[in-house]
Amino acid sequence: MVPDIDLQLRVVIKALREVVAPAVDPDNRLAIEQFHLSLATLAFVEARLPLVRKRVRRELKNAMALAGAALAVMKGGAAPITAEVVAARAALGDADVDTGELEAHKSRLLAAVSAAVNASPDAATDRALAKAVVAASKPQFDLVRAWGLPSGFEPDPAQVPPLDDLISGKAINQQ
Amino acid sequence: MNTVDIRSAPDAEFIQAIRRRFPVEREIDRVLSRKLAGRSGPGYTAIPLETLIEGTRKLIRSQIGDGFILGNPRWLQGGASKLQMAFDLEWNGPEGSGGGERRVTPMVLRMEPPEAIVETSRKREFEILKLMRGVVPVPPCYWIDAEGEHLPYPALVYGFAEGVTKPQARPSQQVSGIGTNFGPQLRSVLADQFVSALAAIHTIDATRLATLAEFEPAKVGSNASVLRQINWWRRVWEEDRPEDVPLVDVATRWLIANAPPLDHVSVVHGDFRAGNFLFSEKDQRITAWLDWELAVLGDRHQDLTWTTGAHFGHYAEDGKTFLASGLLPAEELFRRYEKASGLPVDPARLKYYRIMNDFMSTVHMLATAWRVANHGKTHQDVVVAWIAMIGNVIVGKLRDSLEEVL
Repeated sequence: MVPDIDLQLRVVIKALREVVAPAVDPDNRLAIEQFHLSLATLAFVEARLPLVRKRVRRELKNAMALAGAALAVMKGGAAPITAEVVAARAALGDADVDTGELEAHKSRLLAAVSAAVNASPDAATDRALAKAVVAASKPQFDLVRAWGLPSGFEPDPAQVPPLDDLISGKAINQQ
Repeated sequence: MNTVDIRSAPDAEFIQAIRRRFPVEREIDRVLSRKLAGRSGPGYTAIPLETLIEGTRKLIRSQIGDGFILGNPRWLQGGASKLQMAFDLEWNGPEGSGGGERRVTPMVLRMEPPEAIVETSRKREFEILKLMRGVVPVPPCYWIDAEGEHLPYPALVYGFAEGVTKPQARPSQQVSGIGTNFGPQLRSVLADQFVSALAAIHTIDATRLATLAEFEPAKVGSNASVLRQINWWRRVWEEDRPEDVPLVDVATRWLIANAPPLDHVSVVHGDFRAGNFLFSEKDQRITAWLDWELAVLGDRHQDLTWTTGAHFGHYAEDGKTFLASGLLPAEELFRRYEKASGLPVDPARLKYYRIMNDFMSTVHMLATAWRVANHGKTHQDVVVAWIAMIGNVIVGKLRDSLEEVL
């Protein structure tokens, strides 16, 4: 399609950088800071946009794996999580389900797991569930850290697995 | 995201349920309840400088009458949470009823947006700034508009402090002072002052702490103040999050179960790090400590772990030595702090408060930053949305820390 989204983003970034930037009042520090962050945000979006759907699908798979880890140590009250896992699996198998719906499935899964954590019936289950959640959260947190690397906030980027491996699941299989 | 999000337009029942579920300090309850009540209201729309000038004039007039001239008003950059306007006030000073000599005093108006990345109390900030006079360099605090009676939103007026947050010759690419690199020479000079200030803040006499009206007391031997603070951020998580993060629930349960009793009551600055002090490049002296809005009465280890947090530092030129707040290695900081304060640094408490700080930062970034930017509530949503990405780093660190203790 002409113009494609990538082209539209590129021309906006170019116009802002080359034409608008010199016109920003150099004494307006607030405007300058927000201008540069706006440019950085657009560049971030340009780099990540092609990967959004794959990321959303991986995030849902990560949430399903987290739910599975929780179910493995729970002694009861598993029905709400199981129902969400079944629904999420069906959504992943349907090519027509859009990213918003996939994200809604993920949110419901996470809510079900959180509810289980907060309702654990005894100390042993509490501890087992806590350990399961901590371990099973790693792939998702690695993913969002890798996704956000261009922000510059990661103190040691070399510690974060490659984004492509995290999205494809290769990094998870290696852990 | 969830199709129905009660947090986007919380009703009275939702607000009351949250208040009952998470008891917090009275003043914290007031500002958080006010935030929720305004959630479904309008976002931030650009406020002309003239509106701030007029509101500031009204505030000052209500305090000292008409004998002043407000001049040279201008926007001030800095921080991620409040709107700031600098100006010069020609007046007769605060002595008596303004009967001193005519003078010009540079001042700053610091005003809340409709919702901020951290929702805090101007009353508490005003009170703690007054307490800190003579303890560490802080700007003199003049007037408060606690309820937004004169200005569009609650605000403070305090003295303009000269100085910079980062070396002008070493421009940082990051916002809000995060990852500031002072350079090898300057960092050694500032590090001494940095540690001395932290020790001074933490060793204020208990009788002076007892004069604080907007802070509920903390007691040695009790962990009630720690639990109260956890409740504060659990409540904010409940109010602001876009979706659940089960790890956050694990973290809160661990923090509650393991909260240590205080061994000493300190003022905790709450955001003690590079970026929150000004220094003079000419004589390499810290001229002011800023951003006291998160101050609480509690455990010094909260500040000690905050200021040595991974996201506020960077590696030295050797590529191996990690500098806390860009100033000095954490172990060196703790050693010097013990000497300056006479208070021990307890590794077990450091471990606890590192988890607590990462929990609180996760709430700030993954819940509140998302919420306020999503509702267009601030004057710099693009900054807030950018900073929110640090939450992904912090929640990863929180996970790693929990793995060690569980």
